[in-house]
Amino acid sequence: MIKNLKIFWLFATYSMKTTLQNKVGLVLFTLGKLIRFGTFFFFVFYLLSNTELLAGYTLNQTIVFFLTYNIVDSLAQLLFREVYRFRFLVVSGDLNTVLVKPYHPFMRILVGGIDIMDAFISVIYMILVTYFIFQLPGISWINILMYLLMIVNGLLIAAGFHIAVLALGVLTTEVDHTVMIYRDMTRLATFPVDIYKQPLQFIFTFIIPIGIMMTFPVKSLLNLLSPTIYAICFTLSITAFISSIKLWDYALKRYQSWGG
Amino acid sequence: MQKYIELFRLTVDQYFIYRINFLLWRFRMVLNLLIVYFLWTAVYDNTRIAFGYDKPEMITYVLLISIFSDLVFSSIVFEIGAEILNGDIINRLLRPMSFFKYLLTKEVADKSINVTSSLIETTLLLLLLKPALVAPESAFVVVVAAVHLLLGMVMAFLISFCLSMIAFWSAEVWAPRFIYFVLVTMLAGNYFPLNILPAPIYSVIQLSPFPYFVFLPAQLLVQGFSNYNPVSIVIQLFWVGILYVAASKLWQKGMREYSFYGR
Amino acid sequence: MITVKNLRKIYKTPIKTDNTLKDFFDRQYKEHTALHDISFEIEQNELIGFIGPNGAGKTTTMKIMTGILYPTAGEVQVLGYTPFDKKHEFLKQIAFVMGQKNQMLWELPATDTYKLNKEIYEIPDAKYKKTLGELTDLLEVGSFIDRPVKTLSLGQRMRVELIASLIHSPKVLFLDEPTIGLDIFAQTTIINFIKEYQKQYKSTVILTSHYMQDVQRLAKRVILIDHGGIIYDGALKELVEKHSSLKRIQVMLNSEIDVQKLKLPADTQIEYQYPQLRLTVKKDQIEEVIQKTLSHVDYDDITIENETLEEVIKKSFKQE
Repeated sequence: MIKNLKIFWLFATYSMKTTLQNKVGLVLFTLGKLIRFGTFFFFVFYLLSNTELLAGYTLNQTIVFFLTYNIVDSLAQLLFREVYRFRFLVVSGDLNTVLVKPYHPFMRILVGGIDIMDAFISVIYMILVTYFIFQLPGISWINILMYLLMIVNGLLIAAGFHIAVLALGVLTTEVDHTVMIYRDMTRLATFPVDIYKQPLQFIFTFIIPIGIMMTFPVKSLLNLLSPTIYAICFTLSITAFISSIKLWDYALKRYQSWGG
Repeated sequence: MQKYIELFRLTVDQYFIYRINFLLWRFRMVLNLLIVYFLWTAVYDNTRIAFGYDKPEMITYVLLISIFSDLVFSSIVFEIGAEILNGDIINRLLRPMSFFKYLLTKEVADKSINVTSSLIETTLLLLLLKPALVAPESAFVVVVAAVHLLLGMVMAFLISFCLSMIAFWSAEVWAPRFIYFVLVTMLAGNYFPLNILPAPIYSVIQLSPFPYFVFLPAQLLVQGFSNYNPVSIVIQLFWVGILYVAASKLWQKGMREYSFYGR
Repeated sequence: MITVKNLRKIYKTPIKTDNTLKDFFDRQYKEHTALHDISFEIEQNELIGFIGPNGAGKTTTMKIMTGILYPTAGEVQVLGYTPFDKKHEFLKQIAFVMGQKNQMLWELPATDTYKLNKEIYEIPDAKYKKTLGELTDLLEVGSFIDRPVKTLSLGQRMRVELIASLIHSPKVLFLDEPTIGLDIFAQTTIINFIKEYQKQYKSTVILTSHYMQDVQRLAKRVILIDHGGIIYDGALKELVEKHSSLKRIQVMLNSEIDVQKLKLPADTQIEYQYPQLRLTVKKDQIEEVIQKTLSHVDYDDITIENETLEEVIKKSFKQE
């Protein structure tokens, strides 16, 4: 465990050093992300201050939904950034140098590229969400605890998805953009998935579980989830996570590497 | 002429070779449309009129924007940036073919194929969801909207061109492009009609190029001339002029100072 | 130490048709047997060379011995472990160096990768410092060890890469084309280093290389692999003796001659293009041929060569 933490820390500092080598790009990208967030935030704010309700949620509630989407999204990017570069590692054959090392390959290929830019942005989201949560009436500490737990649950699903992407990358070099599909899909949860009509809402909640990942944390904060739903959520995320690990093990057995 | 037709065909063929890339790009566009469509549908759940638009108007606006965006913003111009960086641009220029006609042909091919898919997707959505829509006020409105749209395409082309010129002086072409797209997504009217914004903000935005890409044509078709200010066409022409001068100046200066070290 | 028994590896490649949907849901595969039930054993402290043409199965064998690939059938034991299990105790005792593959942190100095490997391999401080010092001296990398890896030349990169692979003093070292793409100086540095290293650290080294000189200078024992099977396993010297039955004589003439008049043995291969005369003869006929030739012609210069190792190997592949 201590060994893994040390390695994780080293990878994080190295990835930070690497990012800092291109300061102009770093500043511009961060700026771009902040502009996008700022204008969108303003839009949600402005929209709801005029219409008052969106799918039954108030202004502050909708903002918390929006911020929670951003938090889960940026935490997943922060942690799993390296997955975006995985295809190159496979095609170049450099993955082989990872597989012969005495550590879990996920240390390198899953969480080996911590993105400080996203860390910085995540902190901003978290400060904002804390402020807006305290604007909501009647929130108990239990609700907040469940909210955090559901975010962790969402990140577990995200981890499962990213591991599945890695496994696919090992199985075939043809599918190149699976991780972009994930990113695009999650954007459906910018607003609570309640805005979608059935059967889309069901699909976006349980089949492609972005609802569970990004909408449900806030629902648990607002005390809108039943124990059964919680049970389903936790079962689903744990199953997704375990299956993705199984898929990874299977992919390694089928790995063909390159060259004679 | 023959060679440009051939180039057009080749560009289209390429999409079918890299069809996964293309399908994914379309997939992203469809998701975008779904988000905006359902967002606004949800808004009208408890109000009949929001920001001066009723539901059929807003839904028509959202669908038009989706098609217009494909027409205006799908572009291959950013490829030049990459070609300047890796030196391939030299080969392009040495060919017995006008570089700008080459660019234009590829651009038209790219736009045709994206708009075709966009039309198919929108039709499918209409068939599935059967929303109520509104028709344009008169034929004249359609003509004015078309002029704005055409000028919008020229503007988008010139801006992408200018942004690619950065490659002559710096390898940092990705970040400015990202910022441009962020601004376009937010300020061009992809998520909401710009005239729902508070009046002071809207007036400031009207001075920028952003409302003239897709917002104005779509808004004209939905609301007619009631909110239209004829000065728009002057502002837009002004931007086209400025961007044209900037683009040609940057291109000339860039070609003169181009030092390719090889990578 | 290393036991490979009836090892088989079958690669599957998808057959692409024009129908993407069908390809996706009902993919057809073409099977390609890369290794046909091969067996061999390697003892401790051996330096062994794998030789064979491209796609013969050398790299596949190495990738299975290091746990990267999963064998289709057969048994592989390295240091008492099954490689594919990727037990950390096992991986800590081996190293796999692949030419033109990169384990270094690209944007950062080599020292950063070393520090990372120190943690990954859990090397104690004192031992790390000592090994790093020794390897730095042996490979003479001191002057560029602090520069970002991406700024290094190919030869320099290979040297820092070698240190990264050896920093944990592996018991078994796998080298797959370690000199590929390097110029002759860099190549010599690497080969001399491997020889020196093996002597000093008493490790087992398994090597593949396109350059026969590499193999010749390093390995006493070679395994010839072709089409996924072993066609020779034994001492390099014996292989050369067995297949190298010919010598080559090259004579620079001063005046034109009639070759027929020399009356050379019937199976001598003659290439004559004035002023050069080239003869390829059997070893036991060499004296006779030289005598006959030199007594009949007026010459400037004469050289006698053995077949190169490349030629010997080529021949042994053909005979199979």
